[in-house]
Amino acid sequence: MERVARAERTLVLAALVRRFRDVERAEDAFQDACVAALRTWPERGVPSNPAAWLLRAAGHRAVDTVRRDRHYRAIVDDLGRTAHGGAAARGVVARTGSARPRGSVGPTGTDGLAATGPTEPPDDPFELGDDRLRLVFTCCHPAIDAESRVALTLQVVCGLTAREIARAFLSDEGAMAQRLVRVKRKIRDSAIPYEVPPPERLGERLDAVLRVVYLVFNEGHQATEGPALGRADLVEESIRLARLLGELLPGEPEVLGLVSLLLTTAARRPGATGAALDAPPAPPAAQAKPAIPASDSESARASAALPPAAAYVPLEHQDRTRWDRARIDEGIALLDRALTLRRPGRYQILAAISALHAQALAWSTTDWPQITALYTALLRHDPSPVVELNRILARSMIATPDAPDAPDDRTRAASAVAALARLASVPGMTRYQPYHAARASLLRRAGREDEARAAFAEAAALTRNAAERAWLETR
Amino acid sequence: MKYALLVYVDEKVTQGMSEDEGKALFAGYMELTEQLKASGKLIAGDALQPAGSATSLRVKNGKCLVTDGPFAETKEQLGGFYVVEAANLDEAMDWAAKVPDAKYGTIEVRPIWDFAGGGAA
Repeated sequence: MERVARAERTLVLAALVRRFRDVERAEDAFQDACVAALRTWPERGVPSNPAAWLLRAAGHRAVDTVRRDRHYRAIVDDLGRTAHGGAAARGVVARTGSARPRGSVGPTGTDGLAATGPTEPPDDPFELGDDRLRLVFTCCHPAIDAESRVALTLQVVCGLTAREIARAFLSDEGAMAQRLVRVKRKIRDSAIPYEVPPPERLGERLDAVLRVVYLVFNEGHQATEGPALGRADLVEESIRLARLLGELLPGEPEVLGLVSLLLTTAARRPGATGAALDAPPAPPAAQAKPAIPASDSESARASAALPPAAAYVPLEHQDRTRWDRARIDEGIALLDRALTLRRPGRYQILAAISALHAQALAWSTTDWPQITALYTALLRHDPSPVVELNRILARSMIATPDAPDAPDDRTRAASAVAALARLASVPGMTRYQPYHAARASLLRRAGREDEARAAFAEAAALTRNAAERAWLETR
Repeated sequence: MKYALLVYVDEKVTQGMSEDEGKALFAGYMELTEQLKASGKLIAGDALQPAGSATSLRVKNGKCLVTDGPFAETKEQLGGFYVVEAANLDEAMDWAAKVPDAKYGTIEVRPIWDFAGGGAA
């Protein structure tokens, strides 16, 4: 039941938002429908079309709440008129709690009810294009501040909890929950449209959407919480959304870059293709500022001995024959297409880094000079401390055995530790798990074993993912 | 939906304009107002006299406290407003972008409460 509800959630929710133009109402109604399903499905069996069942049940529920609100609104109107005006009415609204007047919504004035009463949704309520894409563009509307766009998409489109989102943002759970409520009300009250933007607006709205899709991918790729690494549904959902954007905007190189990045990263994650082991996320990422992402840094995890069985495996020790070559090839082809459009950007750079990892036959033969150069280029597009962290790590891997005075691994690691120390003052950095993981592995390479152990312990303490923590605790 | 388009401008910028610039600004407002009227979207709209002409008051314990000047002494002051009918925020934002002072100041778009009940405000 939970699995079905989770799988159908976004689809049903998107259809409900289209009908009622109110994200909060849609979420509440969906929740109620799930409760109803828990009650009836065990007796009568799972319906043949669970999504349609949930949509119908949630639709009825939402209609009820619209009616209830109308009833309250009628009372409020009467009181408001006798009290001469809006301010008095607002006071009444505050006292009656949930009975906030719901603003009308859009040119059709649709609040999910026809003038004469509730309507049934059409026979196939899911046939009207991809509601999920509309939902994404609504959640990423420029009238919503950048952080809230990501948070909202993660909650509404991907079903993450405020707690999981708060962790991805290094922020407080209560504040995040409040922010989400505020933003849903703004969508409703200011009538932010529920549509894929028309061509003249599409470009400007795209970057926000790409950032969000990428963060969703990372969230699934390296789930921040829970016993298992990764959440394949979020990964596949973000790839699906990215592909859809690619079809919609085949001339946008950054969209192609993002699809490429997601494909070549997911391909190096055997869990996604049904194997038992999981792998760390790849090019770590430069994320939607101001959030420091919940992704991780692969070099940070790289320098260790073999892990315990059936657990987290860092890139360095992965069996590269188990990677998904079809996806890697597809991703590289897409990147080539993007590059011919000659408009570079951060997703194309990240895709190039990921492609280099995917093409390398072994950790030791990875093209670290090229990866370092790409991170340097990325800093120009996205001067964030997370990118700097990864550049430092990549640079520390460049071995030049032919050069007579080349620094050895120990020396390179030591200077990387020093470079890392300069990032410690960035707000949030000392709570950022990959920072400690990176520091730990560099300290070990530098031969500073006591400090390394302490840093691994700090990294483990900041990791809620059980598999990854288990790995870190063995360090 | 009704939206208020609140026009915030630095009065020094407006006052510092050449005669031609001032005329062009005024003509821009006339044109926008005509467009709004022609499309049936205009509900109200006016320009305000400078913030120096404002009087602010609040009532505390039944006593009226009067201040000479606007509510807040900020660089950009409310200089005028439109109330327009729009299908959604995107349409309201399109109108806001056409306000001539959007080039010099800030246009705040605020949905208007619908207390009348029923359909659109």
